[in-house]
Amino acid sequence: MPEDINEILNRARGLQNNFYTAVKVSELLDDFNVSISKISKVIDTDPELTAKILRYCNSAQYGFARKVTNIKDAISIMGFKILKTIIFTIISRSSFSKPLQGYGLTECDLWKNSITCAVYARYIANLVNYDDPDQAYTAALLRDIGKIPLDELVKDNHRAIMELINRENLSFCDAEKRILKFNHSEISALLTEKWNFPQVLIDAIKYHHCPDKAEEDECEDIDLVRIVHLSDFLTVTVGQGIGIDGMMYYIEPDILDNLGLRPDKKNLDLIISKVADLNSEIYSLAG
Amino acid sequence: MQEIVLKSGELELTTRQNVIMYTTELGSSVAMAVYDRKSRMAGMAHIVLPDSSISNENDIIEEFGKFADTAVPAVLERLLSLGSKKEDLIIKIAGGANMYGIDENSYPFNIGQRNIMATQQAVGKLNLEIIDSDTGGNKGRALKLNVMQGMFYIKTANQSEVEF
Ligand SMILES: [Fe+2]
Repeated sequence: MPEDINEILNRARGLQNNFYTAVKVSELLDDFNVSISKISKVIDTDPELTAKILRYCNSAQYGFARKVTNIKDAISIMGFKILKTIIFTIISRSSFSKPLQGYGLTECDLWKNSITCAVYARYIANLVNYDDPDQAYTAALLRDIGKIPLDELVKDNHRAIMELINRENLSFCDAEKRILKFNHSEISALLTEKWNFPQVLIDAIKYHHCPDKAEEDECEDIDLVRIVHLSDFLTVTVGQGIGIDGMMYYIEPDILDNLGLRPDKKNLDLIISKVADLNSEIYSLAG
Repeated sequence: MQEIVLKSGELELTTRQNVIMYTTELGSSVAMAVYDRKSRMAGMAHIVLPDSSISNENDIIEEFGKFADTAVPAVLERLLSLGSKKEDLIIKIAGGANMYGIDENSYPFNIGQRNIMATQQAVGKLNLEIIDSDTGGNKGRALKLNVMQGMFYIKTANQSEVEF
């Protein structure tokens, strides 16, 4: 039976610990007056994370001319924003690797799906000239994090959810909510709220399956919500890590128009073609 | 046994038997697998989009595996040119799922539906027939062809693979 919301969030305590340094650093990075040495001090307290960041910096993907050997250099070369996305990518990779039986996700599926959506979101953000593509990347990367603490419940109520979907022709999200009282996007949002994320990022996570509701609720940055929504659609269309919920989600009919993109079939196919081309980059990132 | 994984937009052909070919997950993408029951040659395509007219001329050489109208003839005509007889080709397709609430008339988001139709058309154009389809709906799946056995399988999330 559905549990108390706090019980669900308690299941995410391990996740909270994993993301502790990432959240700390991201708070610092949001403060414009912060110094490089202050940030590197926080990161240096986590040797595993430090090693991984340096590995990223020295990987072919970034390909800096000289070898980066410490966090201070890494930050000055990459800049704050990229560093933030790299840290969240690193932590997500290790936190999203467990199978989620309730959602039908095998080992690393959630990670592959999340990194795919993140890379697509950055692409779409650039395409529509959104001013903070890295924000879109992070929102998309973390949009389904709530599936982790919710997985047990989805597993226990699998039949009820599927029956409701078939009987009343609901989206997976609405069925989750009816049976469990919460859907995974709400849980994702509650988790990131605890991390003091900017409200616009929390909104993009919370409404990633229902931008129409974001509009009703007068969210501040509806464009970010829609970028993540479109990227989520593209991820199940041509991406990887698709679970039992598959494509049982709503797509806003006017999403292209609303993002200032030509809403015809040729343009959508072009966008799909372009994001599919990103898959090889994603495969190398996903490892 | 050699495993060949077809990612989006890729196609493969094999004249060897100790091969298993399978696609990565198909959302709206469509996989076409073909097996020649006489020569035991086989091929597969992981089609992403219906129509190559969106690709510009410079890209199309690299991209012909991506579109139904170019990928299907690339695989099937090649088999025919290698000596396959039309009546020996077993062709099956899978994938082409759509988002919740999207039906065949929901342009432009009926991408799964459009991929299925374009694949069927491209096969029909060569006077060939698709023997089995596991297409549509809202679920993701992957298609596998065991060339040694000449058997086709579908894998859906949370379920073990089933022959089809
Ligand atoms: Fe989601």
